[in-house]
Amino acid sequence: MVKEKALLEALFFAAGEPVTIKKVSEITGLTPGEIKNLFRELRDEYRERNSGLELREVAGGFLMSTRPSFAPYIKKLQGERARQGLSQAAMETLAIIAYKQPITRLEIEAIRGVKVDKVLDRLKELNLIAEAGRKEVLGRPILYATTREFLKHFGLRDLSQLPSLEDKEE
Amino acid sequence: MEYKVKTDVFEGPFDLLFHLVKKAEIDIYQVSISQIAYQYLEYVKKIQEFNPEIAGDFLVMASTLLKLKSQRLLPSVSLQGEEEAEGEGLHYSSEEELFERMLEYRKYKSTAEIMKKMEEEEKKYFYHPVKVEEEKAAGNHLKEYMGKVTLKDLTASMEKVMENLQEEEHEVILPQEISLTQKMEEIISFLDKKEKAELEELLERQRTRSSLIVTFFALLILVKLNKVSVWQKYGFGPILVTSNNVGDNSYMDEERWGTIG
Repeated sequence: MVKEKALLEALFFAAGEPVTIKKVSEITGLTPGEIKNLFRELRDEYRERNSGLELREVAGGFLMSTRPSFAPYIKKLQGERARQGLSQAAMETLAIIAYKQPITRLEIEAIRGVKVDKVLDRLKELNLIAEAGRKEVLGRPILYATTREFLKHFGLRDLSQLPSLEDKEE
Repeated sequence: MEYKVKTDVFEGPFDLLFHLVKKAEIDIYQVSISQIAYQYLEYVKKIQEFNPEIAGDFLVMASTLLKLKSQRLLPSVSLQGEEEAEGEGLHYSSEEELFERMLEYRKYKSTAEIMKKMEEEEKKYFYHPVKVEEEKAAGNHLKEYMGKVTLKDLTASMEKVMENLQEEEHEVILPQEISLTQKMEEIISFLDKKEKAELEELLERQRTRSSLIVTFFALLILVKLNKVSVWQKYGFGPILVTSNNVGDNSYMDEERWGTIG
């Protein structure tokens, strides 16, 4: 299984994005169980030898990346091309969609109290949300839901890893 | 005035409302509309001054606050209020409902703040850049453009020929009329002989500026009528014109132009 483990390592490196078990299985012919075990072994080995790389389960797949503690150095390497984060308006809208999906534009606007059409366009552009059918009410409004890219953006394995809705009053 | 806050600090009417309630240091369930309605209006006035385009969102809430306030003073008004509450979802028939909505918004606002932190954390992970994918995507992109001729391509060809055009001097100047249908027929018969022609070849045959323009115009009409097709074998290649052979000329088999369109 040493060879297979190296093969998986190579795949995870080359992918640069989350790879699903299904895909790894199709490529390598290994069973999902074998892949899961090899992934865990590999992940633990990385940790034990304090590797500069890290393996995680993100967006329903396996993802290889650099260790977050080295971020400042990598930023220097890339010349401070800071990846722009989302605006507050986009983040609030995204939060509502994430917890109430599938949801229509009007339903989002009722919660935020402001128009969200432009924000929705932007989120769609970023592939963080997608249309998910239509609500069977008058006018059949479009329903929105989050995407796999959304999970990747926040480093979540799946939607169950979303933080619980904050109910506190500061 | 004490509300000299930058207007974009508040993400919306609920945000502002919550701020005012908190500022008043009253229990959320005890707060009276009258107390904050005035402050809210003061703030909206500021927004209108500096940022009129977003003021609309805040104004709806202002009117709601005033409506609720008047309901309090004249309880009978509430009956009328009930009927108009069916609007676009931003009218609230009672203070309780309004504050419930505000608290719900609040939940998502704080969650959004947590998600912002998660986003920041996630930005510390760097992946192997997916170069292969990008190239593939770019390739698909190009493919889409191949074979499609846009109006811009056509006009660019036209301009090129226009530049090279050396108008022949006419010895006798007679008012000459170039008929559009004549040119259309000319193009069709030219294509019938040649099967396909390059656009520039077609245009270069014209000797005067006006006949060139009419020819180009005739070509556009033929394309619109689906009599001819314009296409490219590859991106940025020469623009080819072929006859669609609708009508009498049938030596070109249908499959051929079927794949072109």
